[in-house]
Amino acid sequence: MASDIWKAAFNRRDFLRGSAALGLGGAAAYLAACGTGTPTAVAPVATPHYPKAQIDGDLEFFNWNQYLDPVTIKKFEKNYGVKVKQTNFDNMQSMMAKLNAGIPYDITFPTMDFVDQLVKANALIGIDHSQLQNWNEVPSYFNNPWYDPHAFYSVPYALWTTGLAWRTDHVPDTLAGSWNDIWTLAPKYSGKLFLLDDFQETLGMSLLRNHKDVNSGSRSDLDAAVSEILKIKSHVGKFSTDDITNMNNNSAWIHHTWSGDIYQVISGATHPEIWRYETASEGVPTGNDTFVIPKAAKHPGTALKFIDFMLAPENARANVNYFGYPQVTTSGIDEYQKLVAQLPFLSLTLDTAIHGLREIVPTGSKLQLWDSEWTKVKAG
Amino acid sequence: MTSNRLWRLLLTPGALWLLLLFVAPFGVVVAVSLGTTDILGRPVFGWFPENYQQVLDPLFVPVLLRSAAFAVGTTLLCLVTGYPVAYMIARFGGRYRNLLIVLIILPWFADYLVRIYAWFVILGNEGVVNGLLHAIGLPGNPPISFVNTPFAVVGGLVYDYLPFMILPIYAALERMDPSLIEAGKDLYGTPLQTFSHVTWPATIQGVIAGCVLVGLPTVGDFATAQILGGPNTYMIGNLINDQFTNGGYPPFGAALTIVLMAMLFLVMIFYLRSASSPSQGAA
Repeated sequence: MASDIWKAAFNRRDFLRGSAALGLGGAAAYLAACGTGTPTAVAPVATPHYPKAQIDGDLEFFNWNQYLDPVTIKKFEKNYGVKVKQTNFDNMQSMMAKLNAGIPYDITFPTMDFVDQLVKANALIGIDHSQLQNWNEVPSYFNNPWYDPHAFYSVPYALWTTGLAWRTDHVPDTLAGSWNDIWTLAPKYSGKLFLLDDFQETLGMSLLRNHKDVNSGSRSDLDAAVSEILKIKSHVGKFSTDDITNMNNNSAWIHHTWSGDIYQVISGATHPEIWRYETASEGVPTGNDTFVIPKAAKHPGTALKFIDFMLAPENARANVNYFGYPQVTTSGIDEYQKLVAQLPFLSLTLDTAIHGLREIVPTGSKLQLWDSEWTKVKAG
Repeated sequence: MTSNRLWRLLLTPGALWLLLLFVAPFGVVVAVSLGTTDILGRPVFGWFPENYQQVLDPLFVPVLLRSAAFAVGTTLLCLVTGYPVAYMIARFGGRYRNLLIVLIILPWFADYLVRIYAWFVILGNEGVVNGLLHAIGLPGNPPISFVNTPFAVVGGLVYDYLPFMILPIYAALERMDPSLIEAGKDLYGTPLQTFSHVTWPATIQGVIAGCVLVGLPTVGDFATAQILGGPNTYMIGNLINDQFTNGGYPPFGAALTIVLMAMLFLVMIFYLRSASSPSQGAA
């Protein structure tokens, strides 16, 4: 019973369990990280140390909950005679806290902007593409992505867009394919419209509606974006990243959400036909996450084997069918197109991903600015 | 070995425990609150007192006031519901007293988050309460939004912390000599007069202890507001939590923590002084 509640209540972007973890593990990890001297950014080493793709022990696997097909994991365990020991994180910050604390995970799944940080801080083990028999499955753009020059340290995992989902039985309105739809619908569906509890997504969305840079560092841009959100705040049901649950249990009729999450809602719904999803003409935040092998990994060989295994066409296809995101391999993207053939509003091409808007997590003084602007939204 | 040395020796494990698990981490929090972060979000120690300046931003006043209001509301509700429960158990529980107390503590064996989620299952749009309302023909569509409101948050907090109110009041009532109440009645006191002149003064220390045990942790609670709350239930605990786990700025979160602890510490001192003053109490 309890485990059912947990399953129902959490999804990959959920930060609630992170909060629970904060109380104990998170804080401990965070504090542990404090003790490791003065951490400073180090430029990436020119010739990374490349491990060989051969089994060197059980795999310490660190991922979002329900974000990789458990059947495929079982298959890997059986094929190679190893155990995959799974640990979950709930958001990027809690993942980074554990990595910073030096916990020896063999494989984890940071989003592109966090890969960028990890690469710059020299916190990852290099990946020799010649060790991966299925590397040719990776689209050519990802041989040299912006966040990891020459893909020395990462292999792409899944793509997503951020948009707006709504259920047509309660919300029969015609939406305009604009972020402004949130402002139009909010008064009419007061309390039934949910926004993401994610400062990059929600401030970014309001910035885009004002035709500003989604990563703007300008205080006046952010002030304007915040005051627009405050105008509809009284109609917002909740700021939450528990979007799958909010939609499943009929709390939210309109939800600011991620493409894969609405796919999971649709695939699990009794009336899947009521759901729609749109992206906005002012700009579609797009991103991808990755497989990486952290520096502290004790079994990088097994990790490399696992990555190669997941790139294999049949495994990528099985995985896409499970989690509903396009895995960034030729077969994975092809499987996704089949999956959403009946849901044209969820179609997502590689081109969208490459040319989409990237939300980059702010750092330093920009982080403080974004943080205080976001607090205005939450506190007011 | 003198008995003095023996006592000191016996104190060592406890002192070490506090030193390792309270004083040292607290020192780290202080250090983080004065530092900054590197590219990976790791704390870098330094001297940045402006982290504290940020705490004074008037932006946070409504958050503080809201947290205080929720804490006071929760404490009063716990007192109003907890006192009669403690009274009934202490006075009329008979040989079932201990069993009843165990039953009150029993929910605490379940995880804190599971207990809050249980409220979601009960009060949610498709929850038990809305199901019942629907079944007896009351407005079912759209369902009544019990969750995501300040009432749900205070209700959840009351549920979470009620045992902390009941237990000290129960202890005070149990310590009280029941013949005092009979004496009050013998002197022709009405039940209300007997309560206000005899029982209440005799248990005031338990009431104050209960209020402190409920009030202080509720000010810093964040999970209840996060799960049961809506856009207008943001508490100081949520603000701190967001600094560490939701993309915020950890040094600011640490500074907020220190300031909040200092404020709660003042309340605690006030309590300790009032608890040690001999003027209160009936006997």
